[in-house]
Amino acid sequence: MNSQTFPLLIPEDTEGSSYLGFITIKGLEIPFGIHIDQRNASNLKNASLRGSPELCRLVAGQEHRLEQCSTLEEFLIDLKDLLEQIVTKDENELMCSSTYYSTLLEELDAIGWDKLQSIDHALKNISLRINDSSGRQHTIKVVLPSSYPSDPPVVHVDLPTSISVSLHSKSGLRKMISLFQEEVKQFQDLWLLLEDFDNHTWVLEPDKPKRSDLMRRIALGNHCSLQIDVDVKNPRGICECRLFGSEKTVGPLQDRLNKNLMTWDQSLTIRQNLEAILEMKFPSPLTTSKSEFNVECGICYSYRLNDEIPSQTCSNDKCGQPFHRACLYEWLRAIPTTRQSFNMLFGNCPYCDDNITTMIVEK
Amino acid sequence: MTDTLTRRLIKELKEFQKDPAPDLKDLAPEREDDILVWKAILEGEKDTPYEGGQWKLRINIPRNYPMAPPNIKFMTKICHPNIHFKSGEICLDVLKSAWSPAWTLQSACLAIRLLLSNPEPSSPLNCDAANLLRCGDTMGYESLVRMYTQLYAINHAYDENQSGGSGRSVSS
Repeated sequence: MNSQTFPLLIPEDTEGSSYLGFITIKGLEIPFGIHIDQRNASNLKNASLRGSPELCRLVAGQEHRLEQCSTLEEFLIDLKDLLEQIVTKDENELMCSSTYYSTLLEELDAIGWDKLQSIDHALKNISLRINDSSGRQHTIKVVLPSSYPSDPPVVHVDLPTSISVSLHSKSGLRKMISLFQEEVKQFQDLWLLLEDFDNHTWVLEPDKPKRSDLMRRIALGNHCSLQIDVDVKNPRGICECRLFGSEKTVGPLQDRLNKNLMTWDQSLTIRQNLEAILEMKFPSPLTTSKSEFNVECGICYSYRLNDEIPSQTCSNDKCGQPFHRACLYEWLRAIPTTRQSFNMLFGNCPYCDDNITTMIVEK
Repeated sequence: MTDTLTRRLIKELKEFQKDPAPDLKDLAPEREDDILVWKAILEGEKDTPYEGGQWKLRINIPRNYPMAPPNIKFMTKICHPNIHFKSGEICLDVLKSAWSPAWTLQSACLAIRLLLSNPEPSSPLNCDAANLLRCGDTMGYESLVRMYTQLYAINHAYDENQSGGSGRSVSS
């Protein structure tokens, strides 16, 4: 042990397994003690560090770095280094004024602590859980600036429309929550309709529908899918529908859609309307399993590829194999018999050898 | 591309483990840290001269799989008109020009197994075996195959030395 580098360290016992001393960080002397496990003298793996609560707080979460040192001297140099870094960082993260904390506490008291879902160490990022009239849970994420309450907080909510400006004003958390609850009321019917889809059909897209998602793509079976876009202002009205799949299976459905669209009944849910219009019952999680739709791409064997889902299907109705556009393009362009016309490639399905076309993918 | 390749190979492995073809004894990556090299163990079909034999295949998967076919070779010596006796190279259209992403490693191995009982003597890699067939000497061909099966593919641990022909050497 080189006493020159750390003159403030003295052995506590005769074996040299314990030391007591001070470490100097930016002119501040912090008392600490160290105990080394003599059994594995080659490293400091089981060494324990004692010290003031201040020291423990600073080193918390960084112990693994210190464990890698092989000698006590190396350890102390590392510790000093680490503490200096942490102290410098701490200086940058200034504490907020006392009004910040008192306002925050008062507001949390007012809205009720049961609504508080989580809060970070710096008391800057808060997430609040709000239940609406139908028992749906909503999470509001609030980021408070250091200058709160003189500057307004930044609020993130998961709603179909961008929230009115008033949420960002200086009105305080309580006012913000009541505004949010007011806002949420108008979407109750919309969410009811969308949840009807989520619970009774196989939703292919989005992966995990958020409250703000107005689009659903559902499986119809036979490699077919239906995409709907719900109008946020008139959720019960006729929604935008697009059918995906091979022409043979989509054709009759498209005809029914065109023929029966006028029978849309605003008192029914969107799903009930569409089932009546397409004269079919949508496959649901209750009756079928997801693997039955065989929606994976026949080339890469995955469903999602860079957020693309298999959208090209073989038009041979006996085959109907779906592919990602990118995968099919990658395959067809390597085949010498593939013909190209403008931005379309004409080739053969890798599965059934029937004709298949795809658009050229820009990389 | 690497990521999608890994995903497809893992899916193929799971597929095989879930529902293995009865004639394919093993199909898995050779080492845990390299998913691009697989091994397979093929069993000879009943009522053929290959009956009772077990052959080890090595499968090298190219980076652009499944756009390009896997490279499959026999590691255990085998006597067959379309398989090179020394190198184990296989002449099979689906491993070359007729490849499509619809094939899998498992189906390719089964295609090789089918090739064993359906030799194509017009495009030989093993001329001696092919000539016997072309002359119509089925009995001679079958006994030759049976001999090599007995010699290399029955009751042998699938050790790599076999393909090098160390120990015994047989002139064909």
